[in-house]
Amino acid sequence: MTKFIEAFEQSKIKDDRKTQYIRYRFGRLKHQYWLWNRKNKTHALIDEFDSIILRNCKPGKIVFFGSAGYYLKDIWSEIEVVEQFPIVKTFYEDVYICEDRKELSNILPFKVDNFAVVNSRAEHWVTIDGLTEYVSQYTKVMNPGCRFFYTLRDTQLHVNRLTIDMEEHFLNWAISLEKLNLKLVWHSIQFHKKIPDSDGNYDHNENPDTTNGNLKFMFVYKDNNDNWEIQL
Amino acid sequence: MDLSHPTKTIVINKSKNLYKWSKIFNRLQMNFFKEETKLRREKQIEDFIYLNEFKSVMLVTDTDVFGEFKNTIQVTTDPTKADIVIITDQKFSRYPCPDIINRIIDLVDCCPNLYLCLNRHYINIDNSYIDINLAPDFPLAITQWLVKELPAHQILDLSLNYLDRGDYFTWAIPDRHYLIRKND
Repeated sequence: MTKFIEAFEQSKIKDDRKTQYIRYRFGRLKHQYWLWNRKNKTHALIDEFDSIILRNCKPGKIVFFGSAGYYLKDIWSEIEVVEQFPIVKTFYEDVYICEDRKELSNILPFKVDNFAVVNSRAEHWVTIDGLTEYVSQYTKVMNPGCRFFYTLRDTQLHVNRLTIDMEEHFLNWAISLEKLNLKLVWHSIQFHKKIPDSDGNYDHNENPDTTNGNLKFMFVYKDNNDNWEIQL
Repeated sequence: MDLSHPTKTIVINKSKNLYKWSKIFNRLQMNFFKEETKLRREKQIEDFIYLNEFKSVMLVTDTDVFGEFKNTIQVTTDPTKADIVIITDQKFSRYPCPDIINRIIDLVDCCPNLYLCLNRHYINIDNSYIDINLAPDFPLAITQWLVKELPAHQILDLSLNYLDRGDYFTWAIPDRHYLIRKND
């Protein structure tokens, strides 16, 4: 008999590897890069924004958290990768698994000089207060001067989209992270400006960059003297 | 760390699209479950059509919903020939707020009943509309916005009220459900 469900929690999910893999896979677009690159012995395709992050990293440890960073580690083995879902370990051995951000400082045996969270699906479905809590956990593994790259999508965060100026809302939040000793150095907040065509019709596109997120921030942790010139 | 020595020649992707799953969202997600499952919202709409004896239905969808059900009803692509227009297509939610309102008016001018599903997460996609007089509770604010902007229409909110944490299949069938008709 068919069961009618409204949400995931209302029925038991299969626990086989294939199901777990597909659940992970369909929410992580950049896993596709890893699949593509595995088949090419000479060339590696990398995402444009990931290349910007790497261009802006300072010397020292680089960590990609929850962002399919293993596709980059295949190219630069020095990159460290943390994922939240144990299924990743079944297809990519050399990752740290951290299911709960509060455990991150216990799991990583080093402090970090560059920390990137790029449109991680597990980052979504919270308010800006929830994001602040996540970020506070990340700062526990940062060395002073750590560069922090953080990107999200506005459409998957809790905000009253009809009563609040979202651009102002997310920018003010980023600036407010000074309370965590994170200084905002660069940001890009892109809401698609809809302009009607000659027939008066609007497009129905999503906001820009569904892969990396339309809310992009770069911060420096505990260092007001970093003369970081962002390279885009 | 020296990033100048990659193991392969690097090509920066500026044009190749990553695979997206939106065309099979519903089936893909239902296959995760041990039991045979069906989205309750999908059943709700199907039963709404059946129990209210709508004869000719225009379905506007963007993913794999109403599969077998389509074969049990008379489907039309012309709103002027439909008893009811059902919209679950997410794209409708991605128009600017004033354009959503204009499209609703146009559709209800053609067809007496509109069952509109809006994805709350796309509303005001372009951040161009602000009304601070709407309720702080976002789902209620959406309903208030529709009622305010459509004074010549009856707006009946058929949605459930809950906090969406991404586990409600909103990208198969959007979460905000409205029956919209002209006032008598």
